[in-house]
Amino acid sequence: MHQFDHQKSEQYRAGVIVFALLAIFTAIEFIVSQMGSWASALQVAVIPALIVLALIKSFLVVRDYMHLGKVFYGEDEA
Amino acid sequence: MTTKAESLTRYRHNAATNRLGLWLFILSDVFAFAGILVSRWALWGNTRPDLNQVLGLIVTSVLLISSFSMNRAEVAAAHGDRKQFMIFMSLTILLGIAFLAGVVGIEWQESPYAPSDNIYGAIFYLMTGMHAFHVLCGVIFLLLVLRNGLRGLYTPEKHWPVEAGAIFWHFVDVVWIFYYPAIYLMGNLVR
Repeated sequence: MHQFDHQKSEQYRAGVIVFALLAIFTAIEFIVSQMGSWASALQVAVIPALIVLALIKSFLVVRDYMHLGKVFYGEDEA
Repeated sequence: MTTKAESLTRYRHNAATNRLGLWLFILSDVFAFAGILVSRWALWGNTRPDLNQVLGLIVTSVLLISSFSMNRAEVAAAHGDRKQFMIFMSLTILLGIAFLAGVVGIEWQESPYAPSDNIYGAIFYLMTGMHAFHVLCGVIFLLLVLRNGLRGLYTPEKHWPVEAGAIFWHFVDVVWIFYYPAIYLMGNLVR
């Protein structure tokens, strides 16, 4: 039972970490796009930066929230 | 007569098959969303319409929080915490409705274009409409899952519908992760 509760709190904690990272990356996305509109010299870098950020965010969600690993490793994933 | 262990083994086997089927469905849906995203690049290029940036950030945050609460609901269901499951599943549904209200109820009304006006209107309504329809389907599915949860149909060993709902909900979030910058942030503003 103790092991069960420990596992639950670990999974809750992992969810919080992923959420915090997603929130930070979203804020960075918004700031990067605004920087592009303030300084035209930075505009070239805005789209690649936003694509990279979107890829990182989607990787986190697919791996940690959607548990893609379960497709390959079953319930024992994680 | 099957024993409890045999029943659980069969349930896990069925869940594994269902999981694979759901991921295949998601993969096919990815092609539809990706096709629309490619259309955005073909038609808008390095430009974007003048949309409400604050509203875009708010609805994105709402969907992000809903993904977090969905994760909480799933973990709670997997550990038999029925109260937490109900709270976070209800919160996810409410946030999904709030997202729909923000996009369809506000953004569509504020939009400077109609769908048939030009390429900006056409792509904007196509991208947000297709996504909003998936959110709506997700909300309906999660309502069914919540109802079954209230009836006590899920246990820590048997809660595949909760997992399926969570996978679909997070997929909708992943789509928006790409659509939000493509609609609101990338390219030069067209006035």
